[in-house]
Amino acid sequence: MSAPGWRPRDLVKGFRPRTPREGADAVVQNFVLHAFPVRVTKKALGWLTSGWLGTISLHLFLVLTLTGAVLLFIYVPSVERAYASVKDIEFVTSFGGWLRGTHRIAAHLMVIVVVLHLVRVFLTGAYKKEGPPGAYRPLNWWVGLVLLLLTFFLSFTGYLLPWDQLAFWAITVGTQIAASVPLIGEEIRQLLLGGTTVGQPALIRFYVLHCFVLPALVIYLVAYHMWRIRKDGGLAATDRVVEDAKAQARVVPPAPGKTYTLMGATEGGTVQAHTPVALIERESTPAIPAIVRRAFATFVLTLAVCSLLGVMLPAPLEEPANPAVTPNPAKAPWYFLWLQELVSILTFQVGDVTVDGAFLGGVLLPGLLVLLLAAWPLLDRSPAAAVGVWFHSSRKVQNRVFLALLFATAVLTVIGTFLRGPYWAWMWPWDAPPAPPTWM
Amino acid sequence: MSERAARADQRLLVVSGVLLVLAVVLATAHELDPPWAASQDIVRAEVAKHLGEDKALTLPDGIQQIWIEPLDRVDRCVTCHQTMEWGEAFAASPHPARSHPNAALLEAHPIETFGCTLCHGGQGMATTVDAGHGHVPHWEEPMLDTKTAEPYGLTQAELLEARCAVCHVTIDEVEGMPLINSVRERLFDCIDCHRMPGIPPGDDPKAPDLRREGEKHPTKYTFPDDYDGPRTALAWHIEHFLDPKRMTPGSTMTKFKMTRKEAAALSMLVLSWRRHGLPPEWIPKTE
Repeated sequence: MSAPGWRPRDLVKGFRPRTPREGADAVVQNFVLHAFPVRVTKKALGWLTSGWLGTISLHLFLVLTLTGAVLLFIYVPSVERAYASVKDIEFVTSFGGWLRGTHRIAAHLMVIVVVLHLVRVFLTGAYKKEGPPGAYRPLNWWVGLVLLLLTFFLSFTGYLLPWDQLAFWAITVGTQIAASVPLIGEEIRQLLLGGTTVGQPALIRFYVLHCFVLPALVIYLVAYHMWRIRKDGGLAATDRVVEDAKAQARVVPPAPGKTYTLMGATEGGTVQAHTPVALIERESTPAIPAIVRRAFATFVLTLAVCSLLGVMLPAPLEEPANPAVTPNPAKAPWYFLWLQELVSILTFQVGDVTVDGAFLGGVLLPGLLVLLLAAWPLLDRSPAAAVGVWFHSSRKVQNRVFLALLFATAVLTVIGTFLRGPYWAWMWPWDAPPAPPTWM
Repeated sequence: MSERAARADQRLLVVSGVLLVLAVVLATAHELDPPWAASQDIVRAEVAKHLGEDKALTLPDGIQQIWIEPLDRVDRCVTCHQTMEWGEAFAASPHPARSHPNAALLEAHPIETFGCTLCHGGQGMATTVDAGHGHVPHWEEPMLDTKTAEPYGLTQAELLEARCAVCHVTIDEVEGMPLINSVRERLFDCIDCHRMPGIPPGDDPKAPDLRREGEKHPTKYTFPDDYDGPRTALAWHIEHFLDPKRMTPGSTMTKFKMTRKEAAALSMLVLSWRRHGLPPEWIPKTE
């Protein structure tokens, strides 16, 4: 992002490179200048190519950053004040309930949209290593997986902050699942909580992770994620456009582009230098305004949907956290309920042996799923023709298995969220158990 | 980029823009007409009627609160109930302009020191009618009003004695607590077996120590299958006084003869026995 040879006077005078080399370096290294390509294929811009889900994920992150930045001024991360400060946000702060509602909705939507983004990338084979020279899309798939996990962790850390019963027990359950990692499970749990139970050390850790560490990581990785798209020759769908153009022999051979020679500072070439799709006038369009306009429109849409839902669906706030009163059942955050459901299903007795569902369902199975997802770009043997194509016939089996796993996860999540009552017993939503006793 | 895509983007932008404006309008409407504004209008009109327009104009606007410093607790009830201390003239005014019915009590317990919810229950932090009075999900201490008192066959004043007893821990009679005063003597029936606060222990208290019985969370109470009354800690204790074995199978406690009202008074006393975290100087000395 920054130019080499930074001098304090640049703060007021702006950047003035001392040599042409320094100037070229500054441009080459500037992320903002490379967030968008010069030209983009019409195919890549289409709604049905990507659903714009990655872009919308970033928009949701922006909405969360904007609303979260304001909430930071009011929220107090202490067990004495956290709950009351959230009540103050609801009852006293101007637009406080709206801000909090919008922040919550955007957080839930971000989990959903990021998962859908992964689904899109899988179903279009967009993670595959086959691509134009210089491209290596598996790398971005792995970065994306890390971003998915960061999204879960961001939501999970934010879950604790209101310090109500919902927060306290969701984190208690969630971290108990983490504790079933063999050998170091308890250490992981205590590292997260800063103690053996959810208390002030856990609150301040989650707060710092939620507000500073994890967002910083996400910003860094998202920038890299976007830059990799450029390095990989655009969205995977672009490959097909290029191949089609080649087949029809409409490609103008790569011109010794002035831009690249000017950038004598860089090593190697960019993907565009090898695949002159940028020169195919009929298939592409200048990125500005095409991408910028659509990115802006989707941002306004994202902001509008979150704001509207935020004002119509107030964020809940239950009783203040009370370690002495365990709700029955205590549930993890909704996106982890498929794990809690697995933990419950896989905990059973065979004779005298109790099978440890917490390890099987809470650690081993999700761990294997993540590993499988990570390894898949190296295992997928489908041809290059499948890259960037929805439901390509050569990937029929793997797409079906993937969708089946996804469907199972969704079903387990729905069961865990809506169909589990006290003692995790099956319970239809319409026969809810009697409300627990109250004081008077 | 084709014209068609550009037009699609423009349409999307227009629709999104309209939705965003709608969200802003909804949120702003809520800000401009907060739930307490109408209540303040009622109070202002009532003050104008009794004391003139000029006086009404001196009433504060916006959210008002009492900060109870020793407890780091706020009561925002005074946002609407601004004339609580204005005596006789507002005794028959419509809520929330009605004054406190017991001026002497109020003088002995200044609002600026104690706030409202310490005695009355309810959610001091809230600024809406329902949430403030605490009759909402997830608020554990609803206001001790007629609605709360009625299922126990009590009046509001009688139920409120439960809160007097939190500070007035004494075996002596306390002015203004007729219901609880009427059962204090009966505690002497209990000291042989139970320990209780403010009362010297008996020789051999075998039964559960009741000095912190009021801290037991309501979710820890279990009700028999044939029970169909209100599922509250107070109701549990009332039933328990009337028939100990029914609520606690195997209990060896004597089934004392008492009326339902006396059982309610004793239950209120038992529930007031808790660590309260109040400043020691607030607790009256036993005479």
